[in-house]
Amino acid sequence: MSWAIRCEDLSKLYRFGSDTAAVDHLYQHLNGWMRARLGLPVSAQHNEPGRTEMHVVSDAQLDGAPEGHFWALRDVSFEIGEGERVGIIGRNGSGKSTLLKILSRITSPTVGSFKFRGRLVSLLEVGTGFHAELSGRENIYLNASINGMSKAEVDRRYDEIVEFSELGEQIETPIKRYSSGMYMRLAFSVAAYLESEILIVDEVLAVGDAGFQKKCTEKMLEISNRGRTLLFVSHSMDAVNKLCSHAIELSHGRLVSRFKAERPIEHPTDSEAIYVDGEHSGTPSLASARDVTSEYLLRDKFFGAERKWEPLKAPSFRDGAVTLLAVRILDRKGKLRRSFDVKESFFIEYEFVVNEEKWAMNAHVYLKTLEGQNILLSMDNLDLPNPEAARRAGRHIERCEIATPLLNEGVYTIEVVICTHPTTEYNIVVPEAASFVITDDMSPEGVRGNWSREWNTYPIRPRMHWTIRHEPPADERPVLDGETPGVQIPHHRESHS
Amino acid sequence: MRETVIQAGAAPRLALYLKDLWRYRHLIGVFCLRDIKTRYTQTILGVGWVLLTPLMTVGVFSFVFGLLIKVPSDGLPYLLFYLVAIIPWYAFINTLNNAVTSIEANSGLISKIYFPRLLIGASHAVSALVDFMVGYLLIIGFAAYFGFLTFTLFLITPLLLLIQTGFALGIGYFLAPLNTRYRDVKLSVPLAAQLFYYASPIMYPSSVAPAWAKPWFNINPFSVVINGYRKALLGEVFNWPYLLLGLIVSMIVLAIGAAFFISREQDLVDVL
Repeated sequence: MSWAIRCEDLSKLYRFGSDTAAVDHLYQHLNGWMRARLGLPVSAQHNEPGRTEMHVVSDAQLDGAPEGHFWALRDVSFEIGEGERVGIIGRNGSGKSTLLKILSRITSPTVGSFKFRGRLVSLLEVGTGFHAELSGRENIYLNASINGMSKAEVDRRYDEIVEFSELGEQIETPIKRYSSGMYMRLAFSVAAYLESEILIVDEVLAVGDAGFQKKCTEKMLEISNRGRTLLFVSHSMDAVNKLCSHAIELSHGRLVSRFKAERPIEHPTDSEAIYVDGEHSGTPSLASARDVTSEYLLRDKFFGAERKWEPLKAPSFRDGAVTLLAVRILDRKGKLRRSFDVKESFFIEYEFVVNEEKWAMNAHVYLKTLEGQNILLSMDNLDLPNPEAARRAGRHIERCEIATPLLNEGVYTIEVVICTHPTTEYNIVVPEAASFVITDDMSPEGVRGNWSREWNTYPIRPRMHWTIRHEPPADERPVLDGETPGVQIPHHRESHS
Repeated sequence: MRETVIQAGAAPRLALYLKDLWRYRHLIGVFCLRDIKTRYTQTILGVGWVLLTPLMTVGVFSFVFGLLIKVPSDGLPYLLFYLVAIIPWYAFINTLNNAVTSIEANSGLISKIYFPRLLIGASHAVSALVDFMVGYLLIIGFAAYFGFLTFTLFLITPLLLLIQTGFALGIGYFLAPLNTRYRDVKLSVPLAAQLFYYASPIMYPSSVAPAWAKPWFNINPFSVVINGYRKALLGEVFNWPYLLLGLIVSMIVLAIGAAFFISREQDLVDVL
């Protein structure tokens, strides 16, 4: 198979903070220049690099970068074959967007090169260039042209686009009079009909359950089935598994792994047949996506059911009073395990050593989804015999039970926090200390009942109680003697006789 | 299948860039049409505005400089004398202003999609030319009325348009990337334009200029343009070396501006 996109050592250097701080920038230029002229040493930066919370930059990203700069992308090389569908995943700040911008030719790489064959359309948003004063029809031509289609090509597909958009006569109205729904329909319709050999789609466009958006995604993929190369950028493994055959993972600007996503469409098995109903046929089942996700997670990045530390490298309080030894995920029998069914309860165990009887403290469990969404916080204070007293020296083992039914299918991570009480002055914080997977065997026990299809991927699946009342139609209600149909006659009882 | 190579650091190869320009050439028309369609929507006068603005200026000039101050006009009626300066001026200044702000004003587009950014400026030049053609009808009308309509006017117009547009675009292209980083550029343009306005033979004929200032009027492509129109109306013989110099200067400015723009184009989005 020949390649469609080929990247070699792509790197991109960015400045910290606002790149548009022009005056600041000019000042630095002049300052450096003047000092060079006068033979003075170049001063340290007056402004500390603006490390915002958005920029979680690793030390490796600063390596070899000039002062105040960091590598948003570093030595990324890969090849994508013709007709392949590849997902690019990574957390916020991992370099996905930068890679996307470079591949879309919106910005250029600092180092490296890339090539592609054929026409490349990149959808970072739909309706790019739409002008409010122009009609729907004019905007179709405008947007399609900007995306590289010639007038003749748009002419040929114009009727289809209008039909697809379901806008009818409204197509001649200036789009400033459109509702937001109509606007999106128009924008997506043009996007769905763009012709190219390579399509790059940002997840913002492809994920989303609004019916119309789904119709458009399917339309785009329909073209993909005819040999179109697809690049799909997302931070969700789920979405990538639904759409892609391969995935590339970025972390801190580097490509950390490339792996094959599972595609049950091509290799259907018995267990998946259950999930496929009319609506979902043609897309891989969620469960298979989960398997891939967890397998991948545990292999590459996270410690599985147990994470242990060497005594000298273990996280501890600044004053050395407490040292964390291990974090474990245990099943009900106390055995290490990383995968549980939705109907199973299990334990999160912390093992820590108190070296000095000095502080009152609490252990906390922060539970998050793989995407980083916070689910819950639990702490041990209610179960401590004396929460205000200093912890006794020695080894402490604490278990937190994750009861059932609570979590839905998915991959979850634990952030360990142990901190002093009542101030949190001394603490141990270990994000992503361990991870576990919740699966669903589809059996009717538990919350699922007789529902045998996919359960949406919201993080929790508790048992909720419903009150069910039924009122039959009036003419079906039995009519008693002496009672007007539909009118309740109060039972009258004379008490004084 | 067409293969595209993007190499860090290396300036885009000219041949490749030109190919890309050609492939996206229809965008000039698309942007231009968008601007023209949207500029006068919900106005009563519509295209009338294209005529009203220069007419007002020309009227005021004719009154103040012609009737009151009596500036020499090289034998042309004042209306015509000023019309052939003001109509090109508006085309020039609109092209320049829009080219300077072309990146900033289209940041939404530029941060989401690739196309040769040079085309935005070019589309503004074309839409300014459309406005110019409307004004040109006015020039023809007045020239015919005053009996100054000559064949040489039609003959020379394309050349003068080339000089004028190339000059405006060249400056605009040069300043646009600077404006993305330093918005001071945008603010200083009107000031510089005002100076340039007085330094060009718009309100006066270049014949009144002292000897030491002559070289300036010879090398300033915009004064070449205005003098070109005035000479054409008077039916005078053209000073071809003079026109050629104007063309060369204008094309050099365009080449430098475009080269600078292209060299900065790929990273514009990082400083927007």
